[in-house]
Amino acid sequence: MHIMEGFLPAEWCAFWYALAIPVLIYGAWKTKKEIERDPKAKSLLAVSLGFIFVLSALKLPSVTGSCSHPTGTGVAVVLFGPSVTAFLSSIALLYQALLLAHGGLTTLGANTVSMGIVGPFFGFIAYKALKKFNLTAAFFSAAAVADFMTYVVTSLQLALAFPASPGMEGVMFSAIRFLGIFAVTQIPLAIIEAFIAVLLLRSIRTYSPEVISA
Amino acid sequence: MIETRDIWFSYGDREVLKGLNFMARQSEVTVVMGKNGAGKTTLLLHLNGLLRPKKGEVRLNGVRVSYDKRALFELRKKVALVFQNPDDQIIAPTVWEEVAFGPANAGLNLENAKRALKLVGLEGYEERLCSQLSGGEKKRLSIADAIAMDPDFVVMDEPTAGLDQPGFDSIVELILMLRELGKGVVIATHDLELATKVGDRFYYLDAGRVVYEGESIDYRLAKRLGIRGFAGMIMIASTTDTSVEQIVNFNGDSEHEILEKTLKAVLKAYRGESVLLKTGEGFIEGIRRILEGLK
Amino acid sequence: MTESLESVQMNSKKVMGPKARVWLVLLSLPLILLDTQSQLIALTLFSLLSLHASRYYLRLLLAPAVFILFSTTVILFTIEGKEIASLYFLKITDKSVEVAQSTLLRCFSAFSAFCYLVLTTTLPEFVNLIRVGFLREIMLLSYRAIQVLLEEAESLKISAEARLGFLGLRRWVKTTALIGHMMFLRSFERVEKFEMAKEARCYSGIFPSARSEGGGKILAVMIFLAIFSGLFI
Repeated sequence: MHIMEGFLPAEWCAFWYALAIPVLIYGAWKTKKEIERDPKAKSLLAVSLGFIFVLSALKLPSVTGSCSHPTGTGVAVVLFGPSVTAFLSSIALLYQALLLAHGGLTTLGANTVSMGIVGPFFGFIAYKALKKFNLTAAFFSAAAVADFMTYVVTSLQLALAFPASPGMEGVMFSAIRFLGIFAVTQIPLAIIEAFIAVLLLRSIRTYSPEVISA
Repeated sequence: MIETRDIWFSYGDREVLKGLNFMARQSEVTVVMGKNGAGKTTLLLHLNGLLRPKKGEVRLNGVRVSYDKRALFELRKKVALVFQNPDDQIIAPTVWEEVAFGPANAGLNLENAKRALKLVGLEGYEERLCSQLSGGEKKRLSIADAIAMDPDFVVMDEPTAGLDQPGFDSIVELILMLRELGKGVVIATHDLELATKVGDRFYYLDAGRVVYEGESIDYRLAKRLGIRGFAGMIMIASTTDTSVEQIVNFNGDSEHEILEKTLKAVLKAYRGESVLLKTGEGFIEGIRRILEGLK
Repeated sequence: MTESLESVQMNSKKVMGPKARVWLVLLSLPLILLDTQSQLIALTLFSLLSLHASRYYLRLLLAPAVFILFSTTVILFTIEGKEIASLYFLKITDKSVEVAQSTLLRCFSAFSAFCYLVLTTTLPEFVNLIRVGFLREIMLLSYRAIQVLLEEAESLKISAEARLGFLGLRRWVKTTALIGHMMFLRSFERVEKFEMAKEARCYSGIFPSARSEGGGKILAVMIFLAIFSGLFI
């Protein structure tokens, strides 16, 4: 779920950028290290980024109206881990802005925090917690939790910018409203994407088991 | 001159090249033919140093390629490679970035890139996105990539695969132009029409070995090796070429006989056989009279 | 959508060079976030520029419709203040109307500037402003990968569609996962292909920049100053 261009007031745009940038710099630094170690990593990262974008560009028909599509971050975090996913997702989000007009430039910071950092991070935790017991459940929850947390964080971001009244109480009240209305599109989306993720990750595991480390 | 001497190569257990000797000169078009899996592409990848033979050597102008970084750099500057599928070769999103990639990395003047685009007829396309080009345009861009390196040799893998007639014609024209410019062109193909139109020297590969080498096409052997091309050929000659399957002799035949034999030859050629018409006394005169009669 | 937007970007009327365009939008956006007068000026100018650039602008405007509808509804019925209308337990207040109004104005103004960029500027033109070498190369390579992968995904989708692969939600989910897996496999073949293509051409760490003409700088500065002047009105 992208926050569109211009929707957040200036101070909140700045705030979310300030939160996202250190994580991204860390990601970029790690990436650079990896490239210095193995120059081939450049092509690998570029193609992984391409894969994340293409996955997120598969359009969902009918379910939710005009502009819903999978985030692809649940699958990405299982394949690449949370820090690489954060870095690559931020670029994928820039691409979604420039190639699909989804999201925006001033809201890129906020969208990176929700879709690139927090969502996949929790998806990864869910995956780690469950994978010892049942791999299918782990795949399912990686994607479902990543999407669900993205939706929760986005709603919070909107609530912080548009509180019902000054103070924490107002924020919580707004957050519940935003959560409520976006549940209409985001809950079905999270479930459908989780089913896709299960099938996709299962077949990747069958044919290229080395990619999904146990 | 680029040559390979007794090179052997295998992917895992699968032997692909088995002691292959090959040679190509500048200002010539050397055509490598053979069916799928004969080792054509593997040979081409050796010429540019992308693959290293397990045994044997590759020589550029008589000097053995040593496979250190420096030598590979020099080899790739001299021998440019055009992949079969342009989408596998094009790595930059816009035309200019793509064509300038080679010269920029090889430390050459970017004027080369400009000239290359002009040569292949893509001038003015610099800022286009590669994904917005047609199949033929992508192919020409991938050839411009190679030309932009200002190499001595341009090595092309199946340059006409999947092209329509205008696309085919423009590739033929380009290859001949490169030869005019003094470049050596090496083509791997199973397109007999292309081979006939541009080839100066021919190699047939079968199961990793050279089975034929010469300055003319051996049509009968080509067919036996599974090289796809014309349905058949009618040749009119007085040679003792043994590569054809059918020889039709004309010697003092009547008009009726000439007509019948010629049309039968056409039918055979259509079915994929190669026919040699050995024209004796009165053949041309007979044809003239038949044509007169038709009027 | 990418496919068509990519061709829109190639064919739209741009008025100014890519550098001028990108900087104009990047510098205008903060002003648009800050000031109401600037928003009005920017909305007018960028809407005209976008409309002039391509008719596709009108379709882009529809893309965030659901988001705008949902979020504005929440704002309208949530923010507390003096009640001016009510619907059952939902109240619209003077404050909520004010916030909704200002948000929509800011949003449409910024979105029009953003659209002008999206309609006219290809990704490489944007990426070429990035001066960090490895990042620029990864971005250009990945964009190329996206171009190829999307083309392949498109033909796979058609092939699946032709065999009724998208009929009903269940089958749709299965087919989409299948295509995702194909994309995954193709992606990793692509790594090898990139490496070979780079190596074959003496790759030594250089990725050339797209040639982009300058031009339109004066116009860009004038538009920027017009938006900037909003701060003082």
